[in-house]
Amino acid sequence: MKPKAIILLVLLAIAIAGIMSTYSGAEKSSTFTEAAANPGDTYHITGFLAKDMPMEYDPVKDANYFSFYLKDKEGEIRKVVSTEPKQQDFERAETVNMYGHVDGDIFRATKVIPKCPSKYKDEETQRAAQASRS
Amino acid sequence: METITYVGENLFIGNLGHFFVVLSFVAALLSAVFYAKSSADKGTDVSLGRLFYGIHTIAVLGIFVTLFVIIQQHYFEYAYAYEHSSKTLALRYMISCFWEGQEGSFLLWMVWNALLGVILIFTAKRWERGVLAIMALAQVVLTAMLLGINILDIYTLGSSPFELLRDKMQAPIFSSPNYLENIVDGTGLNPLLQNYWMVIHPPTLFLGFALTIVPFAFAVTSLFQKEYRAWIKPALPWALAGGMILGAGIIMGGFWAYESLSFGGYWAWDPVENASLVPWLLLISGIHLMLIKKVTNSSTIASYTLVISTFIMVLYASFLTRSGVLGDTSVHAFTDLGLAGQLMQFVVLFIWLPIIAVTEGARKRWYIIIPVSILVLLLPFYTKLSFYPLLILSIVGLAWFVFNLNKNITNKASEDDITGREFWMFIGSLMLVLSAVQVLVGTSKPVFNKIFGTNLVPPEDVIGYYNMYQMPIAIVIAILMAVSQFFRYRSTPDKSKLSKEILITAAIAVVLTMGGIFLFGITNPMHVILMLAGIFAMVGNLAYILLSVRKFKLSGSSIAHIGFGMMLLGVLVSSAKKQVITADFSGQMGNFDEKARRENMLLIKDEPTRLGDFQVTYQGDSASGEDIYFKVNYKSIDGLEEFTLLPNTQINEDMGGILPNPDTRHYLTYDVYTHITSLPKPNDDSISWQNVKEFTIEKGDSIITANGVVYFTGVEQGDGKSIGLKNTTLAKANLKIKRGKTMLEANPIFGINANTYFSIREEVAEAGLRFGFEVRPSENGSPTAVLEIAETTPQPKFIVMKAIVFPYINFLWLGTVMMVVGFGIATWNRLELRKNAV
Repeated sequence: MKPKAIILLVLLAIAIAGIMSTYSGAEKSSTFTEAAANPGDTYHITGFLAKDMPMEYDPVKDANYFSFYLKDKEGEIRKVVSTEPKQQDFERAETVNMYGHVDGDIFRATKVIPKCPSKYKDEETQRAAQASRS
Repeated sequence: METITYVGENLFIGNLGHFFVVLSFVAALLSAVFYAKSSADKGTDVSLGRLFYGIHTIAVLGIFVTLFVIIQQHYFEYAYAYEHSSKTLALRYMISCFWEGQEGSFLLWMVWNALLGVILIFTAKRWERGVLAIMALAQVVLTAMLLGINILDIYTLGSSPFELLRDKMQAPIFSSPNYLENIVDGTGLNPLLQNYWMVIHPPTLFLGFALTIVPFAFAVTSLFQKEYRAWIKPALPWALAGGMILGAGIIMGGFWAYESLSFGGYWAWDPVENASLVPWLLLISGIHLMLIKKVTNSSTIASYTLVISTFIMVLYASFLTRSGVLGDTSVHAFTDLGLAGQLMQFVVLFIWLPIIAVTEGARKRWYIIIPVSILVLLLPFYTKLSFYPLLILSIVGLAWFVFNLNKNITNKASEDDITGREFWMFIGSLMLVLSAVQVLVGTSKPVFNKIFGTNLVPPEDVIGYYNMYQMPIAIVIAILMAVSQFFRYRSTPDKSKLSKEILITAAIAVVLTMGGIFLFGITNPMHVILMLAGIFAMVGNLAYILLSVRKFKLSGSSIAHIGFGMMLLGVLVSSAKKQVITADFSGQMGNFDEKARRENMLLIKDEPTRLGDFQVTYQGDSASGEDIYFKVNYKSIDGLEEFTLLPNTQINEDMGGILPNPDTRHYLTYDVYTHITSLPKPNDDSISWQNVKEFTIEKGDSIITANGVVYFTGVEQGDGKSIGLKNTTLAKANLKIKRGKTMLEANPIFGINANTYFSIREEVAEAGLRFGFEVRPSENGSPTAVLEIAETTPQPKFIVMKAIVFPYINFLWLGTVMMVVGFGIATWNRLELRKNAV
């Protein structure tokens, strides 16, 4: 039973180490202030789309440049620049999740995930409204 | 409350469906009871168990047919038909409505389970009583999900697919007895599901899931009967068939994602994908342990644990994907239907079943059954609260399971010999478990968050995160695959032959890998090692087939192993060497950033752009229903290849504007994949039209504008019905616009009826022109045609797209096909062996 037991223990140790690193090293939602403290390091930020600020996407000028303003949970507003095209219904988004790093005054997002206000509920009310209208 | 008599509803069919649900529930319950009873006191008659199982199966098929009729006949008074189908839906997709909704997907699972049970009644022989008792119990829990019965106003058991729309939704229209007349059409099927692969992928996957219960049922039955070895033989073909079908189902999902989703790949480590991968990995591990147990009579506890956890993981997967806990982290999880508690009951019940099985003595069993039953019954009310006791109970349960089972096994395994094949197979199985645990841990983050109130976010680079762990594991597994076949069970007598075989195949693999490095251009050391391991697995198993396999039907495992090696190679080359040919570093906004990906390219209509080895031209678009197809022409620079791709976008308000679908050109050694990432804004209101002028025109006239020459080629008369107006006559002007080399068309409309006249302008953004058309009466009797032209800056027609070249992706598909074929051969072989044994 010896070699098997050793391998079993080694694998168990690897598994535990893997679980630990997954859960302890996991990124947590952060703020612009924290991200600005370490420019260049990747942070995950959840915030609200600043709807009264300009949003820029003009594919004719640059198909890989999309900028908008985001208010983080501490209320700080920063310009966000992404290299992915603007999603079609981005304006409707309420909260936005993103990954990226601070570079000077702007936040360079590598991944932007907009969240529309509770889509399912929205749909239900819309349907009901539709049904009653027709 | 006043009751309303509604008009036009077909209530009979829903009542019939509901009757079938209740009947199938009751029949499954009775069948489980009678089978369990006859299994406990051996020799009791099984006919009652069989009878009720038969009734249950017919009732389940009845539910399926009833729901299908409701969808096919468009009975929109039923919420399920209204929410998941529409009148325009093609017949071949009507079956897909079953898996868009949760109730339907449970139904699919139940149908497979019921049919598998019938096969088992005929084939399981002396195992029938125990196995069918467990199958029937699972069916009880599954049918309960469809009951939709309110118990004392405190708890609704299940969610019925036959619920009426007016019961589900509160809306003012339901106060009218004629409301059905106003519901013209259902909301339709998610367009992503209207795809060939989506018709066959879910049933295959669910058959795979359903198959995992069979080895589980054999294992638990054998625990009750203390036959720790005999169950393997009848269970093995089922486990192999499960491995084959679940594997095929998973890869079909990958192929569907590759063909019709726009994330640019076949596997994204999405929680829902992972939820089906984990049981598959455990099942494969379990199959290997079952083989070890069968041949050498060792690894008893391990084989039981794996076969049982495979099924538990299937249940956990259905909990993950259906309880709403995954929420935002997955693109295709279901929302909660209020079944989370019931799903958790399902998991807990089947965790405790084997634990009860290993407990000896009726009194001891009751000590476990009573508290567990109370816990299970309370679960729906305290899903969150009960987690800690559940976790502790499960750990205690596992320890109890291992302890009792260990006590009961009389023939302890002999000392392990590292020259025995089972030793290496055992390690390989452990590696598969490690792989499954890693995927499970990563996927369960949202569950972890919910329980501990943490706010952990998924890693930024999800694919990179999983690959980092899975790559080393895959390397070890592939190497074990390559060498293990050369060992003999128990111990290998001729050790010099063994080392010679391993060394020669390894040497061949090294040579081939060097060729591969050169051919594929792989340089990353980790990738080189992975390639070596994959090629080694292929060479080792091919050599084994050629040298040692005497009969074709014994080659299943080796073929499956070769398939796995080839799959690794395909995954490696297609992802490591994939080339985003639309990568554009000509950023005009002047902010160069090293980390930025810049993977999208703007293509203006009719302007060829060089992308990679191709000259690419966007040639225009055409609409078909809700889809707009974009014609993208590819010409290779060497002039040898030319093809046109038609990536499309679907206009779908529910899913956020546009929904892109890729199009891919497949070649033997590479694929060219293209999808739309952005489009010009549809008719912008902010355009300022200038220079508005009116022209009196006659057929054949031409007008020169700043943006091109306009030719008036005539007027066409039409009926107002075409735009939804009765008793109206339309005059449609045919205009041609010549702009440089391109010819455009415009058809402004003038309409007249008894009360009024109107004109419908047409904007041609591409030419920067807007046209209005009017027919005016004149003094001399014959009417004159007047054309109004407005000008603005022309808006070029363009698309923004992403194109990726995936080299050698066919290795992946070929590898998976070989793996499935290998499983098929192995299943067939095991079935024959079982037949001969009788």
